[in-house]
Amino acid sequence: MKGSPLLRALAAFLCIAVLGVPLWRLTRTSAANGPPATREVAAMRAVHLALNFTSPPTSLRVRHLGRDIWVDAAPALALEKTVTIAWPREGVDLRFEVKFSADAPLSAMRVRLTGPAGEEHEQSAWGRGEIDEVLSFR
Amino acid sequence: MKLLPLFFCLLLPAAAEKIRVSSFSTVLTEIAREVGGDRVTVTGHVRPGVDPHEYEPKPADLRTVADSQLILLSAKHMEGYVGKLKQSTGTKGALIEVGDRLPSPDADPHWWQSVGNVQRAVKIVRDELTKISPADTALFAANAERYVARLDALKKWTKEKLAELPRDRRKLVTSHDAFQYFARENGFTIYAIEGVSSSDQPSSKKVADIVRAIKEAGVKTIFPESIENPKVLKEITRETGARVGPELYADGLGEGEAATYEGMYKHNVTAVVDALK
Repeated sequence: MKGSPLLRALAAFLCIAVLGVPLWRLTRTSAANGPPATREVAAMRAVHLALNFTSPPTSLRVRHLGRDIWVDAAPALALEKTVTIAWPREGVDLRFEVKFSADAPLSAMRVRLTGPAGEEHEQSAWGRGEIDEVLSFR
Repeated sequence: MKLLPLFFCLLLPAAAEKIRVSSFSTVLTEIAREVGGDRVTVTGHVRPGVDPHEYEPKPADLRTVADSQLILLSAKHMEGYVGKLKQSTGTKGALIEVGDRLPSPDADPHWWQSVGNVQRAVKIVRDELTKISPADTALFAANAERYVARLDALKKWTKEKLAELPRDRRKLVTSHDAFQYFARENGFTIYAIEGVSSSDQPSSKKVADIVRAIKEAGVKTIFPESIENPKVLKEITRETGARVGPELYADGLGEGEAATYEGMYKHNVTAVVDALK
């Protein structure tokens, strides 16, 4: 390579500057946007619910994540249903809204939930006139 | 017999004199006012929005403490000046370190982030006021019962609101580690950028660890605090692509909707649920 060392150094500096600026911009933009955070979506699975009451309810509503998954305007003392909901390994919360007749005594509800792998969870709640309770199954 | 009315007149000012309470926590200030009602005068030394980790009492505060019959402290090392309060004021008032009387297994001093702990604190304050004025036992008991019932309603509301948020999204990234009680009570996993004190600064390794954890957990939103400078949070959002959510009240009550305990707690729960769901 010919030319004075000063000229060669200048040429090298120009090359670095020309290539370096877009490279710096590219890496800076990439950091600013950041890699998108990935969230594992819980799979929809079938779970079985079996309910028992000590007094006949007049209405039943079960909600999951603010959405109705089971509504019954004339429920029996014992009833069951299979529902399909997102089932993460951390568990689920279900909100039970049950109404009884005005003269009904203090009443209990027992919930038996059978998870996708056949595992069983049991919870119960009490109420006079109504039950409005969030039950957790984990 | 003529002296009898005069005797009652002399008793009257003593009977009507209010119990003087000094509080170094915005939450305890509210509790003392709720339980004590008209029978107490509560001086809240730490004002809403002031960082209790940074607060230092001024001479006027010490004079008030010296004259107080009940002094309420958050405790759990929140008030580094507690020795100074005892020594320099010479107060004869009962100095109650409320947090130290609560069942709390870890070092996090922010015990009010558990509604259950606040209910226990109400009973502690009720008992201390009753010791000072046994004649008001029934009044303090009734006031405490009413306040605890409101906190029961807050617990129910919280459970219903959180039921809107899938359990696999209950991951809370906050600026300082002030939500361990909240997390335990409500099924969250915490990723805190700083330590339990807002003055703790994160190392670059800690920030890198948090960035990795946020990416692995798929957290979409991170939360600054009402008092905290969110500079580091912004850096983390740039690295992870997560967005900055609404401010949370970690260190006590604030202003506006967060001026009451119920308002503050509802603000935090609503902010978390709406941002993460």
